[in-house]
Amino acid sequence: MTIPAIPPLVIYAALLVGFVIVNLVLAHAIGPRKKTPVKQMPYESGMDPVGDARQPFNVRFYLVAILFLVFDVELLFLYPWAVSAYAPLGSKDTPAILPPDLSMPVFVVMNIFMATLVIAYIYAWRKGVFQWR
Amino acid sequence: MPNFTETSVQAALGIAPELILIATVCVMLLVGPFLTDSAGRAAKGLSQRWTILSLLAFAAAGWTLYSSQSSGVIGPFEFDGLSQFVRILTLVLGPVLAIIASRQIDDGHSAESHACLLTILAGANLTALASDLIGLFLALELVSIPTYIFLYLPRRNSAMQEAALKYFLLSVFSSALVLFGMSWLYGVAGSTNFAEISSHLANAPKGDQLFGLLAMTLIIAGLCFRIAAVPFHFYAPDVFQGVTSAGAAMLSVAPKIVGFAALVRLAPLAMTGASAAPLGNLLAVTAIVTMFLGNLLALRQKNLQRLLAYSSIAHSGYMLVGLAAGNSGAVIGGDSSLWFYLATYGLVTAGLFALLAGVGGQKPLERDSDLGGLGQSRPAAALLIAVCLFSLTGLPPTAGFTGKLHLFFASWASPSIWGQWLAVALAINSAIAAYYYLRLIAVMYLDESAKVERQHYPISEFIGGVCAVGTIALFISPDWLWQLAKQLP
Repeated sequence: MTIPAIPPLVIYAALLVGFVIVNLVLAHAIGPRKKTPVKQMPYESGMDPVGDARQPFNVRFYLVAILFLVFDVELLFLYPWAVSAYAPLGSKDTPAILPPDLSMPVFVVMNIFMATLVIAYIYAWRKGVFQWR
Repeated sequence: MPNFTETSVQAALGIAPELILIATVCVMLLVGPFLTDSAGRAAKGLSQRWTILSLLAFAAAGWTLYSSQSSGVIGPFEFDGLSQFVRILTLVLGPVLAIIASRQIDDGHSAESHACLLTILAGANLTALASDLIGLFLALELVSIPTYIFLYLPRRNSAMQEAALKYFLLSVFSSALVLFGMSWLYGVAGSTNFAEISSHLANAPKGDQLFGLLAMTLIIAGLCFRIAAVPFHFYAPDVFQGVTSAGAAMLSVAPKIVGFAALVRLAPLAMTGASAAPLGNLLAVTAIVTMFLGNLLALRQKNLQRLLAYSSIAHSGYMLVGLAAGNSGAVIGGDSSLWFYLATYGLVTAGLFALLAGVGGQKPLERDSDLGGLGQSRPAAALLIAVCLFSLTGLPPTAGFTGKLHLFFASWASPSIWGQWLAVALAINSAIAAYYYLRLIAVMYLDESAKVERQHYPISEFIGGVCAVGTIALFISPDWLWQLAKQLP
């Protein structure tokens, strides 16, 4: 009888699930239970909670949140590009991470990318997203 | 390694038709919000003007596609028989959908609505063009995100909002399933490229193949949502009933093209070695259950669009028969007959919705009895609707008959153990479906109870009539379309 080869992915999955179960069981079994008011408080990134979290808030915030994505996605791509496309200022020996022959094509691609985001921005502006009605 | 700039330019030239559509979208979204009077209301008749711009874009895209020389794999795109077929199909159906939509959207939302429609069709093309998982997923999202907006824009009542929201939530869920499956596939094969995944899975150890099977099951589940196959069909009746007929026409055509393009691209990747049999079984059982459930539930529907939703589910089942039959060892390939059927189905459904929208005018047809007396009051439109219903039933002299015949022969001759069962199920279901399609024709010609004077839209009726005549023409000379479908891989 031969032992069937177990793919690494199965071992990984078993370890993953096992780790979670073991931790949960151990925490439940040997963890001390001391309830203090601070511990019972809902965790809001260090802030003391003010009132109920389940209160309705203005739908306009959603528009702002969506608009935020325009700038967020922009930054997400601009930053790595800015870091990799050019050599550090004032240093002659460290070259740019991006190969020189890719520099121009990537610049063009970034411009196309920016242009599409500008379209989204102009659209949002004309549709009155910036007016707090 | 080929030059990056050169490849990018080649790829951009290759997808010039899609770029034209997307550029038109940008123009619409940029110019649309500026065409307002001082009170912020949109200009009158704006929707018609955007329709004309859409039609021009489709014409320009069609012309570029006709003169395009691209073939083989260029960058992330694969130019082959499948992508060519899908691109022709969307560029033919696009104008029909745009014309249906032109009267069903208010001028204030018309720019967004037409832009979404163009984006959906460009996304459908890109789905067929994708040669790796990332490109495929982006193309799928390029279809689904505008779909949500397209369904939501013409909302008039809470039922429409509910329909759009229902579609949105379930579609997001299905996208997540597809993405999860894709990540497993990448984990197993170590590549996102279709050719590399395929060659890796073919020689992979058994464990890897099992994970490939798991990945494909997840992906098929997600894509079955788009084509509205059982058990992911629950949304279809509610959504179809809620949305406008432009929305329903789009939903019954575009997601099917997209879903089947992705399925035809992805299914063969894992159809090797140990996973071929279970995947074949999965597809065959899905096909049979989808056909029966769609047709049996359609029998008792009184709402027209709800009935057509069940009909759309049933037709997905027919097309899955082609996919399950596969292409190997048959004179009439399963994939080719699937695409032939999808083309005829798309033409007929779009035409039928155009005719219904045209006949209904500003008071949309809701119940099947609304068709009553149409045979007397509008004989030409009634005849064209009858032709479309004949084609959906699969009766000669319409292309629906040719398509069903191809599917039947393809599955009958297929080497799969399910082949002949699928063929028999297909035949039985065509008979069941005949009842509810022919009942509609009977209502049109025999029921004279409902005599409502309706203002009709001639342009919608005209384009629907063109589609109906087209199905008869395809019955008479199906060869050119069949030759195109046969060039699929």
